[in-house]
Amino acid sequence: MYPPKFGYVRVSSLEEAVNILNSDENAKVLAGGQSLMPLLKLRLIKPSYLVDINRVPNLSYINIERDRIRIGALARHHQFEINKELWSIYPAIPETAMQIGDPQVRNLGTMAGSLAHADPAADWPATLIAFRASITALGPSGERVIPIDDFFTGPFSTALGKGEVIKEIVISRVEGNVKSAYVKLERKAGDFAVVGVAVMLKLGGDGSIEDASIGITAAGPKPFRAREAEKALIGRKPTSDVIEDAAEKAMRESNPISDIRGSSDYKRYMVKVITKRAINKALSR
Amino acid sequence: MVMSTTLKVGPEERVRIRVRVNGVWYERDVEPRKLLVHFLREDLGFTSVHVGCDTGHCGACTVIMNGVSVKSCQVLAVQADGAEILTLEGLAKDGKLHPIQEAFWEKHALQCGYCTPGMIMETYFLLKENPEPSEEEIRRGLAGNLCRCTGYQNIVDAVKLASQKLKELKMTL
Repeated sequence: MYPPKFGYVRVSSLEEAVNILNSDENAKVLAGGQSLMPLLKLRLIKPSYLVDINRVPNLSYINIERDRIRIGALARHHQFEINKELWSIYPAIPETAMQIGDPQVRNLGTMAGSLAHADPAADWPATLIAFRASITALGPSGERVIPIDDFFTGPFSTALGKGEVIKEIVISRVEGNVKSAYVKLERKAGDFAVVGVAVMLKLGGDGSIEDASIGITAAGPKPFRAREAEKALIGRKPTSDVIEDAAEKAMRESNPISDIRGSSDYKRYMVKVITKRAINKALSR
Repeated sequence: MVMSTTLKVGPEERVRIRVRVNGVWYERDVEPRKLLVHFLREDLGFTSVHVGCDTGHCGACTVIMNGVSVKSCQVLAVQADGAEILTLEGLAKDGKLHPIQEAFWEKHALQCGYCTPGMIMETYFLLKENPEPSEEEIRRGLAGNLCRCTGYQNIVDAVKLASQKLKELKMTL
Protein backbone atom coordinates (compact mmCIF):
# COMPACT_ATOMS: atom_id res chain seq x y z
CA MET A 1 0.00 0.00 0.00
CA TYR A 2 1.31 3.41 -0.97
CA PRO A 3 0.23 6.59 0.77
CA PRO A 4 -1.33 9.32 -1.38
CA LYS A 5 0.95 12.09 -2.58
CA PHE A 6 1.71 14.77 -0.03
CA GLY A 7 4.33 17.41 0.54
CA TYR A 8 6.79 17.29 3.42
CA VAL A 9 8.10 20.00 5.70
CA ARG A 10 10.73 19.34 8.31
CA VAL A 11 10.57 22.03 10.96
CA SER A 12 13.09 22.99 13.59
CA SER A 13 10.67 24.59 16.05
CA LEU A 14 7.06 24.10 17.14
CA GLU A 15 6.36 27.77 16.33
CA GLU A 16 7.23 27.01 12.74
CA ALA A 17 4.86 24.01 12.76
CA VAL A 18 2.09 26.24 14.15
CA ASN A 19 2.61 28.79 11.36
CA ILE A 20 2.28 26.15 8.67
CA LEU A 21 -0.72 24.44 10.29
CA ASN A 22 -2.43 27.80 10.76
CA SER A 23 -2.02 28.77 7.12
CA ASP A 24 -2.87 25.35 5.67
CA GLU A 25 -5.77 23.45 7.24
CA ASN A 26 -4.95 20.29 5.28
CA ALA A 27 -1.44 20.00 6.70
CA LYS A 28 -0.94 17.39 9.43
CA VAL A 29 1.67 16.91 12.13
CA LEU A 30 3.98 13.91 11.86
CA ALA A 31 5.34 12.85 15.25
CA GLY A 32 5.72 9.09 15.87
CA GLY A 33 3.50 8.39 12.88
CA GLN A 34 2.27 5.06 14.20
CA SER A 35 -1.41 6.00 13.78
CA LEU A 36 -0.85 8.46 10.93
CA MET A 37 0.95 6.04 8.61
CA PRO A 38 -1.87 3.42 8.58
CA LEU A 39 -4.40 6.21 7.94
CA LEU A 40 -2.34 7.40 4.98
CA LYS A 41 -1.87 3.91 3.58
CA LEU A 42 -5.56 3.13 3.88
CA ARG A 43 -6.17 6.50 2.17
CA LEU A 44 -8.49 7.57 4.96
CA ILE A 45 -6.77 10.96 4.97
CA LYS A 46 -5.05 12.96 2.25
CA PRO A 47 -3.02 15.76 3.81
CA SER A 48 -1.47 18.54 1.71
CA TYR A 49 1.73 18.50 3.75
CA LEU A 50 3.14 16.46 6.59
CA VAL A 51 4.82 18.70 9.12
CA ASP A 52 7.58 16.58 10.62
CA ILE A 53 8.38 17.73 14.17
CA ASN A 54 10.80 14.88 14.93
CA ARG A 55 13.89 17.10 14.57
CA VAL A 56 12.63 19.83 16.91
CA PRO A 57 15.21 19.83 19.71
CA ASN A 58 14.46 19.30 23.41
CA LEU A 59 10.98 17.80 23.11
CA SER A 60 11.68 14.21 24.23
CA TYR A 61 11.85 14.86 27.95
CA ILE A 62 10.07 13.21 30.88
CA ASN A 63 10.97 15.56 33.74
CA ILE A 64 9.97 14.27 37.15
CA GLU A 65 9.94 17.36 39.39
CA ARG A 66 8.95 17.76 43.03
CA ASP A 67 5.38 18.86 42.40
CA ARG A 68 4.74 17.81 38.83
CA ILE A 69 5.82 15.65 35.93
CA ARG A 70 6.43 17.42 32.63
CA ILE A 71 6.34 15.43 29.43
CA GLY A 72 7.56 16.78 26.09
CA ALA A 73 5.63 16.33 22.86
CA LEU A 74 8.17 13.85 21.48
CA ALA A 75 8.45 11.53 24.53
CA ARG A 76 7.96 8.02 23.09
CA HIS A 77 5.96 5.23 24.74
CA HIS A 78 9.11 3.16 25.27
CA GLN A 79 10.72 5.91 27.37
CA PHE A 80 7.89 5.59 29.91
CA GLU A 81 8.10 1.81 29.94
CA ILE A 82 11.76 1.82 31.02
CA ASN A 83 11.56 4.75 33.46
CA LYS A 84 12.36 3.23 36.87
CA GLU A 85 11.37 6.32 38.83
CA LEU A 86 7.90 6.29 37.27
CA TRP A 87 7.52 2.61 38.13
CA SER A 88 8.18 3.47 41.77
CA ILE A 89 5.97 6.56 42.09
CA TYR A 90 3.18 6.17 39.53
CA PRO A 91 3.33 2.61 38.16
CA ALA A 92 0.12 3.11 36.16
CA ILE A 93 2.06 5.33 33.75
CA PRO A 94 4.73 2.84 32.57
CA GLU A 95 2.14 0.08 32.93
CA THR A 96 0.01 1.90 30.35
CA ALA A 97 2.99 2.43 28.03
CA MET A 98 3.96 -1.25 28.01
CA GLN A 99 0.47 -2.27 26.88
CA ILE A 100 0.36 0.00 23.84
CA GLY A 101 0.79 -1.71 20.45
CA ASP A 102 4.05 -3.64 20.29
CA PRO A 103 7.76 -2.86 20.90
CA GLN A 104 8.36 -1.37 17.45
CA VAL A 105 5.30 0.87 17.72
CA ARG A 106 6.36 1.96 21.22
CA ASN A 107 9.83 2.91 19.97
CA LEU A 108 8.34 5.59 17.72
CA GLY A 109 4.83 6.41 18.98
CA THR A 110 4.46 9.40 21.29
CA MET A 111 2.08 10.18 24.17
CA ALA A 112 1.24 13.57 22.66
CA GLY A 113 0.53 12.02 19.26
CA SER A 114 -1.77 9.47 20.82
CA LEU A 115 -3.70 12.24 22.61
CA ALA A 116 -3.96 14.39 19.48
CA HIS A 117 -5.16 11.41 17.43
CA ALA A 118 -7.83 10.73 20.10
CA ASP A 119 -8.76 7.18 19.18
CA PRO A 120 -11.65 6.40 21.56
CA ALA A 121 -9.98 3.08 22.47
CA ALA A 122 -6.46 4.46 23.05
CA ASP A 123 -4.71 3.68 26.35
CA TRP A 124 -3.09 6.95 27.46
CA PRO A 125 -6.33 8.94 27.87
CA ALA A 126 -7.59 6.68 30.69
CA THR A 127 -4.38 7.07 32.65
CA LEU A 128 -4.00 10.79 32.05
CA ILE A 129 -7.61 11.31 33.16
CA ALA A 130 -6.87 9.34 36.34
CA PHE A 131 -3.81 11.50 36.98
CA ARG A 132 -5.77 14.72 36.21
CA ALA A 133 -3.21 15.78 33.64
CA SER A 134 -3.33 18.97 31.65
CA ILE A 135 -2.19 19.66 28.13
CA THR A 136 -0.21 22.71 27.10
CA ALA A 137 -1.10 23.60 23.55
CA LEU A 138 0.86 26.02 21.40
CA GLY A 139 -1.15 27.96 18.84
CA PRO A 140 -1.08 31.10 16.72
CA SER A 141 -1.90 33.25 19.75
CA GLY A 142 0.53 31.56 22.11
CA GLU A 143 0.18 28.88 24.77
CA ARG A 144 -2.91 27.72 26.63
CA VAL A 145 -3.53 24.97 29.14
CA ILE A 146 -6.35 22.48 28.52
CA PRO A 147 -7.45 20.21 31.39
CA ILE A 148 -7.59 16.60 30.22
CA ASP A 149 -11.31 16.40 31.06
CA ASP A 150 -11.99 19.07 28.43
CA PHE A 151 -9.50 17.82 25.86
CA PHE A 152 -11.41 14.99 24.19
CA THR A 153 -14.55 16.16 22.42
CA GLY A 154 -15.57 12.96 20.63
CA PRO A 155 -14.13 10.09 18.59
CA PHE A 156 -10.90 11.31 16.94
CA SER A 157 -11.64 14.90 17.94
CA THR A 158 -10.06 17.16 20.50
CA ALA A 159 -10.20 20.70 21.82
CA LEU A 160 -7.12 21.60 19.77
CA GLY A 161 -8.03 24.52 17.50
CA LYS A 162 -6.73 25.66 14.13
CA GLY A 163 -2.97 25.74 14.08
CA GLU A 164 -2.63 24.31 17.60
CA VAL A 165 -0.19 21.56 18.54
CA ILE A 166 0.53 19.81 21.84
CA LYS A 167 3.70 21.16 23.39
CA GLU A 168 3.71 19.47 26.76
CA ILE A 169 1.68 17.26 29.08
CA VAL A 170 1.76 18.09 32.80
CA ILE A 171 0.79 15.80 35.66
CA SER A 172 0.54 17.43 39.09
CA ARG A 173 1.99 15.20 41.78
CA VAL A 174 -0.23 14.19 44.68
CA GLU A 175 1.36 14.10 48.13
CA GLY A 176 0.92 11.12 50.43
CA ASN A 177 0.28 7.43 49.99
CA VAL A 178 -0.74 7.20 46.32
CA LYS A 179 -1.48 3.92 44.55
CA SER A 180 -2.18 3.51 40.87
CA ALA A 181 -2.83 0.89 38.20
CA TYR A 182 -3.95 0.57 34.59
CA VAL A 183 -5.71 -2.62 33.58
CA LYS A 184 -6.50 -3.30 29.94
CA LEU A 185 -8.65 -6.03 28.50
CA GLU A 186 -7.48 -6.94 25.00
CA ARG A 187 -8.45 -9.66 22.55
CA LYS A 188 -4.93 -10.28 21.33
CA ALA A 189 -1.41 -8.94 21.86
CA GLY A 190 -0.99 -5.40 20.58
CA ASP A 191 -4.68 -4.73 19.98
CA PHE A 192 -6.62 -1.70 21.11
CA ALA A 193 -8.48 -2.06 24.41
CA VAL A 194 -11.84 -3.81 24.63
CA VAL A 195 -12.02 -1.79 27.85
CA GLY A 196 -9.22 -0.04 29.77
CA VAL A 197 -9.41 1.37 33.29
CA ALA A 198 -6.85 3.52 35.12
CA VAL A 199 -7.16 4.14 38.84
CA MET A 200 -5.37 6.50 41.19
CA LEU A 201 -6.10 6.19 44.92
CA LYS A 202 -4.77 8.21 47.83
CA LEU A 203 -4.94 6.36 51.11
CA GLY A 204 -5.18 7.97 54.54
CA GLY A 205 -3.37 6.80 57.66
CA ASP A 206 -6.36 4.70 58.74
CA GLY A 207 -6.53 2.90 55.38
CA SER A 208 -9.54 4.80 54.09
CA ILE A 209 -9.56 6.30 50.61
CA GLU A 210 -8.96 10.06 50.85
CA ASP A 211 -9.05 10.67 47.13
CA ALA A 212 -9.86 8.59 44.08
CA SER A 213 -9.65 9.17 40.39
CA ILE A 214 -10.78 6.78 37.65
CA GLY A 215 -10.30 7.13 33.88
CA ILE A 216 -11.94 4.75 31.43
CA THR A 217 -11.21 4.18 27.76
CA ALA A 218 -13.00 2.30 24.96
CA ALA A 219 -16.32 2.43 26.81
CA GLY A 220 -17.92 5.46 25.20
CA PRO A 221 -17.54 7.90 22.32
CA LYS A 222 -14.61 9.40 24.21
CA PRO A 223 -12.55 8.47 27.26
CA PHE A 224 -14.19 9.65 30.48
CA ARG A 225 -13.82 10.14 34.20
CA ALA A 226 -16.07 7.79 36.22
CA ARG A 227 -17.24 10.45 38.69
CA GLU A 228 -19.91 8.40 40.45
CA ALA A 229 -17.48 5.53 40.92
CA GLU A 230 -14.91 7.94 42.39
CA LYS A 231 -17.51 9.30 44.85
CA ALA A 232 -18.37 5.75 45.91
CA LEU A 233 -14.75 5.27 47.01
CA ILE A 234 -13.83 8.60 48.61
CA GLY A 235 -14.05 8.64 52.39
CA ARG A 236 -14.56 4.87 52.65
CA LYS A 237 -12.38 1.93 53.49
CA PRO A 238 -11.79 -0.20 50.38
CA THR A 239 -13.78 -3.26 51.44
CA SER A 240 -14.97 -5.66 48.74
CA ASP A 241 -18.51 -4.22 49.04
CA VAL A 242 -17.26 -0.68 48.50
CA ILE A 243 -15.15 -1.75 45.50
CA GLU A 244 -18.07 -3.72 44.05
CA ASP A 245 -20.32 -0.67 44.42
CA ALA A 246 -17.78 1.62 42.72
CA ALA A 247 -17.29 -0.83 39.84
CA GLU A 248 -21.08 -1.10 39.40
CA LYS A 249 -21.29 2.70 39.20
CA ALA A 250 -18.46 2.84 36.64
CA MET A 251 -20.41 0.36 34.54
CA ARG A 252 -23.55 2.54 34.67
CA GLU A 253 -21.52 5.59 33.62
CA SER A 254 -20.15 3.80 30.55
CA ASN A 255 -21.73 3.84 27.11
CA PRO A 256 -19.73 1.53 24.82
CA ILE A 257 -20.67 0.75 21.23
CA SER A 258 -20.93 -2.73 19.74
CA ASP A 259 -18.06 -3.48 17.37
CA ILE A 260 -15.60 -6.22 16.45
CA ARG A 261 -14.23 -6.13 20.01
CA GLY A 262 -17.57 -7.07 21.56
CA SER A 263 -21.20 -6.13 22.02
CA SER A 264 -22.21 -3.09 23.97
CA ASP A 265 -23.63 -5.26 26.79
CA TYR A 266 -20.47 -7.33 27.03
CA LYS A 267 -18.26 -4.26 27.17
CA ARG A 268 -20.43 -2.62 29.83
CA TYR A 269 -20.08 -5.68 32.00
CA MET A 270 -16.34 -5.70 31.34
CA VAL A 271 -16.15 -2.10 32.60
CA LYS A 272 -17.32 -3.43 35.95
CA VAL A 273 -14.90 -6.37 35.94
CA ILE A 274 -11.88 -4.33 34.84
CA THR A 275 -12.65 -1.44 37.23
CA LYS A 276 -12.69 -3.90 40.10
CA ARG A 277 -9.40 -5.42 38.94
CA ALA A 278 -7.77 -2.01 38.54
CA ILE A 279 -8.79 -0.89 42.05
CA ASN A 280 -7.54 -4.15 43.56
CA LYS A 281 -4.31 -4.01 41.61
CA ALA A 282 -3.62 -0.45 42.77
CA LEU A 283 -4.37 -1.40 46.38
CA SER A 284 -2.05 -4.41 46.18
CA ARG A 285 0.93 -2.19 45.37
CA MET B 1 11.69 33.68 16.79
CA VAL B 2 13.85 31.45 14.62
CA MET B 3 12.12 30.56 11.37
CA SER B 4 14.50 28.26 9.61
CA THR B 5 12.55 25.56 7.81
CA THR B 6 15.17 22.90 7.39
CA LEU B 7 13.41 21.22 4.49
CA LYS B 8 10.30 21.74 2.38
CA VAL B 9 9.26 19.53 -0.54
CA GLY B 10 6.04 19.74 -2.57
CA PRO B 11 3.84 16.70 -3.33
CA GLU B 12 5.16 16.41 -6.89
CA GLU B 13 8.80 16.98 -5.98
CA ARG B 14 11.50 14.59 -4.98
CA VAL B 15 13.86 15.06 -2.10
CA ARG B 16 17.47 13.99 -1.81
CA ILE B 17 18.14 11.87 1.28
CA ARG B 18 21.30 10.35 2.72
CA VAL B 19 20.94 7.17 4.73
CA ARG B 20 23.64 4.95 6.22
CA VAL B 21 22.64 1.31 5.82
CA ASN B 22 24.81 -1.44 7.31
CA GLY B 23 27.71 0.99 7.53
CA VAL B 24 27.53 2.42 3.99
CA TRP B 25 26.12 5.83 3.07
CA TYR B 26 23.59 5.95 0.21
CA GLU B 27 22.20 9.05 -1.46
CA ARG B 28 18.96 8.88 -3.43
CA ASP B 29 16.09 11.11 -4.54
CA VAL B 30 12.73 9.97 -3.19
CA GLU B 31 9.10 11.09 -3.21
CA PRO B 32 8.00 12.33 0.23
CA ARG B 33 5.41 9.53 0.34
CA LYS B 34 7.92 6.73 -0.21
CA LEU B 35 8.00 4.27 2.68
CA LEU B 36 11.31 3.24 4.23
CA VAL B 37 10.58 -0.42 3.43
CA HIS B 38 10.25 0.35 -0.29
CA PHE B 39 13.36 2.53 -0.21
CA LEU B 40 15.41 -0.26 1.38
CA ARG B 41 14.08 -3.01 -0.89
CA GLU B 42 13.59 -1.33 -4.24
CA ASP B 43 16.06 1.55 -4.28
CA LEU B 44 18.90 -0.08 -2.35
CA GLY B 45 18.24 -3.80 -2.85
CA PHE B 46 18.10 -4.89 0.78
CA THR B 47 15.50 -7.58 0.13
CA SER B 48 15.71 -9.14 3.59
CA VAL B 49 13.33 -6.36 4.59
CA HIS B 50 10.03 -8.09 3.84
CA VAL B 51 6.61 -6.63 3.20
CA GLY B 52 4.24 -8.90 5.08
CA CYS B 53 0.95 -7.38 6.11
CA ASP B 54 1.67 -3.80 5.04
CA THR B 55 -0.62 -2.63 7.87
CA GLY B 56 1.86 -2.45 10.73
CA HIS B 57 0.86 -5.70 12.42
CA CYS B 58 3.28 -8.41 11.29
CA GLY B 59 6.78 -6.98 11.88
CA ALA B 60 8.36 -8.69 8.83
CA CYS B 61 9.76 -5.30 7.77
CA THR B 62 11.49 -4.65 11.14
CA VAL B 63 14.86 -2.88 10.91
CA ILE B 64 17.00 -1.07 13.48
CA MET B 65 16.92 2.70 12.95
CA ASN B 66 19.20 4.85 15.10
CA GLY B 67 19.44 2.03 17.64
CA VAL B 68 15.78 1.12 18.00
CA SER B 69 13.61 -1.37 16.16
CA VAL B 70 10.99 0.10 13.85
CA LYS B 71 8.52 -1.27 11.35
CA SER B 72 9.92 0.15 8.12
CA CYS B 73 6.45 0.10 6.50
CA GLN B 74 5.36 2.65 9.14
CA VAL B 75 8.18 5.11 8.53
CA LEU B 76 8.79 7.40 5.54
CA ALA B 77 12.13 7.18 3.76
CA VAL B 78 12.53 10.94 4.16
CA GLN B 79 12.26 10.50 7.95
CA ALA B 80 15.35 8.29 7.77
CA ASP B 81 17.41 11.08 6.19
CA GLY B 82 20.71 11.09 8.10
CA ALA B 83 19.80 7.92 10.00
CA GLU B 84 21.82 4.81 10.70
CA ILE B 85 19.94 1.67 9.61
CA LEU B 86 20.78 -1.95 10.30
CA THR B 87 19.11 -4.71 8.28
CA LEU B 88 19.63 -8.46 8.36
CA GLU B 89 22.24 -8.11 5.59
CA GLY B 90 24.41 -6.17 8.04
CA LEU B 91 24.58 -8.92 10.67
CA ALA B 92 26.82 -11.61 9.13
CA LYS B 93 30.50 -10.67 9.09
CA ASP B 94 33.15 -12.14 6.76
CA GLY B 95 30.86 -14.95 5.66
CA LYS B 96 30.14 -15.96 9.26
CA LEU B 97 26.62 -15.81 10.62
CA HIS B 98 25.84 -13.54 13.57
CA PRO B 99 25.25 -15.46 16.85
CA ILE B 100 21.53 -14.61 16.65
CA GLN B 101 21.38 -16.08 13.13
CA GLU B 102 23.30 -19.17 14.30
CA ALA B 103 20.84 -19.63 17.15
CA PHE B 104 17.87 -19.43 14.76
CA TRP B 105 19.62 -22.01 12.54
CA GLU B 106 20.46 -24.40 15.36
CA LYS B 107 17.03 -24.27 17.01
CA HIS B 108 15.27 -24.48 13.63
CA ALA B 109 13.34 -21.34 14.52
CA LEU B 110 11.65 -21.06 11.16
CA GLN B 111 9.61 -22.97 8.63
CA CYS B 112 8.78 -20.84 5.60
CA GLY B 113 11.25 -18.15 6.73
CA TYR B 114 9.22 -15.16 5.68
CA CYS B 115 9.06 -13.63 9.16
CA THR B 116 12.65 -14.55 10.02
CA PRO B 117 14.53 -11.34 9.11
CA GLY B 118 12.05 -9.30 11.14
CA MET B 119 12.20 -11.78 14.03
CA ILE B 120 15.99 -11.63 14.05
CA MET B 121 16.11 -7.82 13.94
CA GLU B 122 13.58 -7.55 16.79
CA THR B 123 15.60 -10.16 18.72
CA TYR B 124 18.64 -7.93 18.15
CA PHE B 125 16.81 -4.98 19.75
CA LEU B 126 15.42 -7.12 22.57
CA LEU B 127 18.83 -8.54 23.49
CA LYS B 128 20.50 -5.14 23.16
CA GLU B 129 18.09 -3.74 25.75
CA ASN B 130 17.82 -6.85 27.90
CA PRO B 131 20.72 -9.31 27.35
CA GLU B 132 19.20 -12.07 29.51
CA PRO B 133 15.43 -11.97 29.05
CA SER B 134 13.04 -14.39 30.76
CA GLU B 135 10.72 -16.47 28.59
CA GLU B 136 7.90 -14.04 29.31
CA GLU B 137 10.09 -11.08 28.36
CA ILE B 138 11.02 -12.82 25.10
CA ARG B 139 7.36 -13.43 24.26
CA ARG B 140 6.48 -9.82 25.11
CA GLY B 141 9.53 -8.58 23.19
CA LEU B 142 8.46 -10.40 20.02
CA ALA B 143 4.77 -9.50 20.34
CA GLY B 144 5.04 -7.25 17.28
CA ASN B 145 6.31 -10.04 15.02
CA LEU B 146 3.91 -12.61 13.68
CA CYS B 147 4.87 -16.12 12.56
CA ARG B 148 2.16 -18.23 10.92
CA CYS B 149 4.18 -21.48 10.79
CA THR B 150 6.14 -22.33 13.89
CA GLY B 151 3.87 -21.72 16.85
CA TYR B 152 6.75 -19.61 18.23
CA GLN B 153 8.26 -22.28 20.53
CA ASN B 154 11.45 -22.75 18.53
CA ILE B 155 11.78 -19.00 18.08
CA VAL B 156 11.64 -18.48 21.85
CA ASP B 157 14.25 -21.24 22.25
CA ALA B 158 16.46 -19.57 19.64
CA VAL B 159 16.32 -16.22 21.46
CA LYS B 160 17.35 -17.97 24.68
CA LEU B 161 20.23 -19.65 22.86
CA ALA B 162 21.24 -16.38 21.21
CA SER B 163 21.35 -14.70 24.61
CA GLN B 164 23.60 -17.49 25.89
CA LYS B 165 25.89 -17.32 22.85
CA LEU B 166 26.29 -13.54 23.11
CA LYS B 167 27.11 -13.87 26.79
CA GLU B 168 29.72 -16.56 26.13
CA LEU B 169 31.28 -14.48 23.36
CA LYS B 170 31.09 -11.37 25.59
CA MET B 171 29.54 -9.67 22.58
CA THR B 172 27.57 -6.46 23.01
CA LEU B 173 25.00 -5.38 20.45
